[in-house]
Amino acid sequence: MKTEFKNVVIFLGPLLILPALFVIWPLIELMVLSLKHKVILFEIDRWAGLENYQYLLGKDARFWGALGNTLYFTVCSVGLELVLGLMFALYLRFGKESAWIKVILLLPWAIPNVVSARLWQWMLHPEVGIINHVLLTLGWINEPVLWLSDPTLALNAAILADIWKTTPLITLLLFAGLQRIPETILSAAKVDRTPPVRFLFYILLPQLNPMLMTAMILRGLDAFRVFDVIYVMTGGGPANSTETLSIYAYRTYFQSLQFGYGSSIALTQVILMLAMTWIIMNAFSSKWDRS
Amino acid sequence: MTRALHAGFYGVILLWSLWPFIWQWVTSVKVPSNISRIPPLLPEHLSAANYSAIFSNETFIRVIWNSIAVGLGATAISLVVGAMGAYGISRLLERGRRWIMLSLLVVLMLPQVSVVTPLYRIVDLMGWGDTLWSLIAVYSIFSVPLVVWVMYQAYEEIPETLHRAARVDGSSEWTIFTRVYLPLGIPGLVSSGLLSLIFCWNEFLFALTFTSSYKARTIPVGISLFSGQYDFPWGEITAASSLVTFPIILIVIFSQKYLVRGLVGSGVKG
Amino acid sequence: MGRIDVKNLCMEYNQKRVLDRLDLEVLHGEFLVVLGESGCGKSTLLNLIAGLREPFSGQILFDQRDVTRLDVQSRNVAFVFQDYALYPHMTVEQNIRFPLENLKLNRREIDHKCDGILTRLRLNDFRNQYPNQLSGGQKQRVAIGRAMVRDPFVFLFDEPLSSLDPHLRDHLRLELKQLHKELKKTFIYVTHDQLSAMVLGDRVAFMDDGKIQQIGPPLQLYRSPANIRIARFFGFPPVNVLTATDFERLSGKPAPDSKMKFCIRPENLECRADSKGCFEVQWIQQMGAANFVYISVGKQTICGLGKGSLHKNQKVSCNFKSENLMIF
Repeated sequence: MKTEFKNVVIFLGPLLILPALFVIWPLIELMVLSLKHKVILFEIDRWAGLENYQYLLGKDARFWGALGNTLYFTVCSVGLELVLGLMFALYLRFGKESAWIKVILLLPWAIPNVVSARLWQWMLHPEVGIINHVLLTLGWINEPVLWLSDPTLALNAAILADIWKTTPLITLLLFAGLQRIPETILSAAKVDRTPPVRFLFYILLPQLNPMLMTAMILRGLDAFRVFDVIYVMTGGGPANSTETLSIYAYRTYFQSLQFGYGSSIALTQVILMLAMTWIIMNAFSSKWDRS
Repeated sequence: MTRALHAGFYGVILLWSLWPFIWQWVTSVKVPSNISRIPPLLPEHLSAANYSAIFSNETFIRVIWNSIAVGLGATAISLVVGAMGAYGISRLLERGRRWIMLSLLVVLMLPQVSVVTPLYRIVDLMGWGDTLWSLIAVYSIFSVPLVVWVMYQAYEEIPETLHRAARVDGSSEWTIFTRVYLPLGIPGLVSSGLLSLIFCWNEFLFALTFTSSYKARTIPVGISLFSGQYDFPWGEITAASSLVTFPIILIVIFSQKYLVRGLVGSGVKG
Repeated sequence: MGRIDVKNLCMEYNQKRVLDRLDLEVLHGEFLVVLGESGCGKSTLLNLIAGLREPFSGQILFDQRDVTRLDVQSRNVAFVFQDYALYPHMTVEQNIRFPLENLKLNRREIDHKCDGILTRLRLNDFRNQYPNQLSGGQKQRVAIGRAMVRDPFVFLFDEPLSSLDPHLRDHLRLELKQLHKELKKTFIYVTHDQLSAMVLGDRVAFMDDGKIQQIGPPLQLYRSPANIRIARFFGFPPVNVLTATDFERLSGKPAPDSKMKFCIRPENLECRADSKGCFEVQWIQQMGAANFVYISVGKQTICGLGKGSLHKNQKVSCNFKSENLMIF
């Protein structure tokens, strides 16, 4: 028994100590900070109780705006990515598959977010961007579109960049999921002369469900914390129209140096994230039943 | 007919995925004065001016070097800690596996911005401000869960009888780990190592906040900080981007199999 | 010596009792087969004897020495797994060397012992091959070689033949029996396959409900089983179980006790063509060496050995010797 315990300590010790030190402790500190008024610049540092949260949830329109932007970004990008990814994956599975298409699909996923953001910023450049150029040449628009400086368009442009970067990943995940469906089930459906639409909704999707759920949760959580793409492309502007929770927290920390209030925003974001995960996992727990 | 359809579909996927890369490269080889003009769409002649501008810039080379050092260092640490941890979870624990795996997933999915200031304080306390160590330490923490997820999957695929057989053969857990599980888990190690490298190569927020000079800045920060008087220096940005994408293209081409396996493997079992 | 005594052994998983005050004596050098349905606790028993798990209570003695609290490394047992559990990344030779390297013996001694085993098991030609290049028989020999090399106190087998095709299984059974004769070691072999038990075992222990229900030579379990479950477990086609009324219908004699069950094995129930017979052939199962016929007795269908040429719907009469009757 003693040796067993010793082994557990040796193998699991580092794994459990490192996150404890660098994740749990910071989270506790975050909680403490969020209950304070702390502004480095003016050397303000005093207890605030729940005042930060009262303001945040009650009066801070900018917070609600950021939350709205975050949700809009998450729902649109993940939704479109799943639909597009499923289409691509179905094509690869039942149309034509090849090894090099996987290489091509992996490329956008593998490059840094910053690089892809700059790349899209360049392609969406109002005067010399390739996208405006093509649209003008085709005659679809009459004057250059201000993709990133028009508050109604900027967030959608960021969503476009995100879709470009992560649809391939979803495609690969769903493709792998489709490949795992036993061939016998597909043959049985063929023998039963299942029409294509029924085949998709009654055979493929239920079988693919665990993979769809995984892709949705992982991508959803990733989109909910989006920072890089937006920070680089628009910095949260114009007029806060692309400000997400991560960006708002970052700006509160590092631009207005309000560490207490920034922590309240960040902690609220973490709690929302955990709640979302919990709800999704519970809502689908019967289908999620794998250990 | 179907062949034309397939060609068409493939064409769409190709154009969609590759066009931004091509355009980035096309821009990077234009003469700097021609960049802010369109048309011409394509450069009249290839110019290396943007690339030489980058290479004459010492900070950029420093930044690439920083990224490599941080990536390798953090990946090495997270592979050691992660492979051992995954072995412990998979073979030594009877209860609490699900709990540990889920908490690791939470760490993996935590918004970086939420821990950035407390971590900054820790880094500062350790005297690691504006050094590569700060990034190596923080990246290890966040890529360990990734490694554990992939390696746990790999170890679960090894028949449990091998573990019992090795115990009967008189091996200690350490011998079983180093001589049986580690060698059999090599594909998983390659997968998770690559995923970790790509994560470190791409991470932005920590790199941005923990560094204040080119002593420790990494590629994403370097690229985000290019600036000019009126507009961004697009020629240099696209040249730099092309350069840092190049090794990634190589990695993806040569290790596509491992990457897909790692991504899918860590995703399949929730 | 290689005597093992298991006394009063109890084991629980998740508050479910798997072994219930189990007693077992294994004699030196015998080939003992532990037979039982899957989930009866026989694999647990094997893991406890090996020391891979610790029992809830009870004792395990190796030659009167209490090893109950010793872990697997200090017991010196050999274990052959269902899938053989050869290390796939090691060659045959490396697989066999592995346990010796764990003992930290010097190189020359390892070489010497390893060569001895390879020659003895006719594995010399394959020494540099990997497990996935070997046939089923070679894998079994490597697994046994890896177990033998430490000169273990006892060999434990966890259904190693159950997943193989029947021809190979026959062949490997023979080889295993041969090896047991050569090695003169104690073998404990766990299986759910009654045929393996009959062929291999010097003695068979039938396990059910976490206890040994009966132990003895295979034929003893076959001919005079201790209870109805054991009777049902052996033989194909399975034994006929009759109520007292059906028994009276079949034999035409009064049953000695109306509450008992009456069992008769198909091969001991002779069915002959007889125009005055009171039973009718429902269908016939051709087995090559023998024909089994199925007849209705009361509401039950029972099986007997067909004598002479028979066809469907033919009238037959049935006979059996009273010494073959088993009453529970």
